[in-house]
Amino acid sequence: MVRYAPWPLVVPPSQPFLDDVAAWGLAAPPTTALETESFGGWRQMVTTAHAARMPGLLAKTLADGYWQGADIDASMLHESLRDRLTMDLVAERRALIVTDHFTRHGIRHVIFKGVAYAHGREVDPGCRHFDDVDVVVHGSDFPRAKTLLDDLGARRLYPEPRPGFDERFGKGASYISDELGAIDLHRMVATGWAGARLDEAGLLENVDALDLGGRKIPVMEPITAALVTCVRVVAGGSAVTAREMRDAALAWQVPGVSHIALINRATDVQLGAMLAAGVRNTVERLGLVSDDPLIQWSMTYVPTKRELVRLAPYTPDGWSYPRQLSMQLRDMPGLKNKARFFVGVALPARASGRAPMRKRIGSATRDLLGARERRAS
Amino acid sequence: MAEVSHSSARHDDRVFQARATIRRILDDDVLIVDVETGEMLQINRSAMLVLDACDGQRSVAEVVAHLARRQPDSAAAIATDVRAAIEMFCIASFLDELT
Repeated sequence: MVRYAPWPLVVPPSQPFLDDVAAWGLAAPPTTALETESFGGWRQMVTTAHAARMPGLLAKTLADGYWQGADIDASMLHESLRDRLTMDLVAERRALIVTDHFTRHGIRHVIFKGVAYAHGREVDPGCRHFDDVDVVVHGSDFPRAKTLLDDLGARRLYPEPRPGFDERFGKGASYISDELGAIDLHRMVATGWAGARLDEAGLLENVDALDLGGRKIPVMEPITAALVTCVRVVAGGSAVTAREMRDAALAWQVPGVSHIALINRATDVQLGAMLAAGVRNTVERLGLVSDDPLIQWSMTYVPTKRELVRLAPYTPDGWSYPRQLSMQLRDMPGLKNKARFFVGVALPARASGRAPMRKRIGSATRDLLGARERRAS
Repeated sequence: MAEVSHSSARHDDRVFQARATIRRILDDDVLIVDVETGEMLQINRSAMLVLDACDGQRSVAEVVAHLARRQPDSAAAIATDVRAAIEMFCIASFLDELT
């Protein structure tokens, strides 16, 4: 007998003090100031927040009296924040350059995450730090986008598994360039079947524009963006950070995001349970208390058995990349497509530098058997 | 505001246009980056007001008058500061002079 993943889903592990920082402005502040010593001291907190790209939010919580301790040194945080803001501006300018190139070459795209979230969601963009540029393009434009990045001198970090795989099935490609820094070129914005479903939500339809430095940056329209962010909160498994959950909570609160339209969009592409799980996990992890209708809906959502099975490979305790892919394979129309996808994933070209076949089969088998044992127990 | 010499103060009828920038607030300061060149500058918020007032329409005298209107009691000091800030922005290439 198959046992299904529990509902509510397992929430990714909390990050001491970062959860409080990420909830700034969304949840009630602590009733009494928290001792810095409880989190390893101020220096440790600043270092951790810097690595987690959260000094901007830590500064907000410090100003709002979240913390107490003799070791609090505002200048240390100021330096960390200055450093992060400088990187933000560099990355933001790079996003403008990238979007200029893509537009000039007629490649339909949206800028995703970093710049889009900082300006579209946060009251102060200095609360959302980033250091790379994420671009989403349609599969049919993927080869041209790759050629463009090659022409701009960007170097691809991981080669394509097999010729033609990228534009048909690939999630994306990572590039690095002296001039443009790190660029993530996405065809899909999540792994496995959830990513394929999001693709159907029309990531590049009804694109909005951000005004930045006298130019326009194309970004996803708010409902699509909210759905994507909530799904990514689940699709990231245990690696999901408090900051990403803040992104999700802010996304569904953007003015103009009707909870009914968001639920309908999710349901249309069979991502209702994913959306509900993303909202529930975010609410639980960040301690949000609200009469927000989307939160109420997520708390009363009853997933079907099929939905639970599909969610299982994304849960922190059942996370399995092969199972995510096998479900994507199951959803895929046409035998030819399925075969091409399977060959690309299971038998990548030797030149692609991926792990050898034997190793891949071994790890996939262990993964799948592990999941079966977990279900059995 | 940055310390600059006033000996090279420009004529008040000149018109300047601020270059396109992106920015972030850092406590009392603002970090700005020229979108075209990538040059970065950290300035205080008063200097930011001066940069924003240089819209390609107002002359230096009009920028001074515009900003002095907020604090009429400090008009003389504001005039000095505004000219100094414009000088500094010109040196840092954050302003284009319109002819």
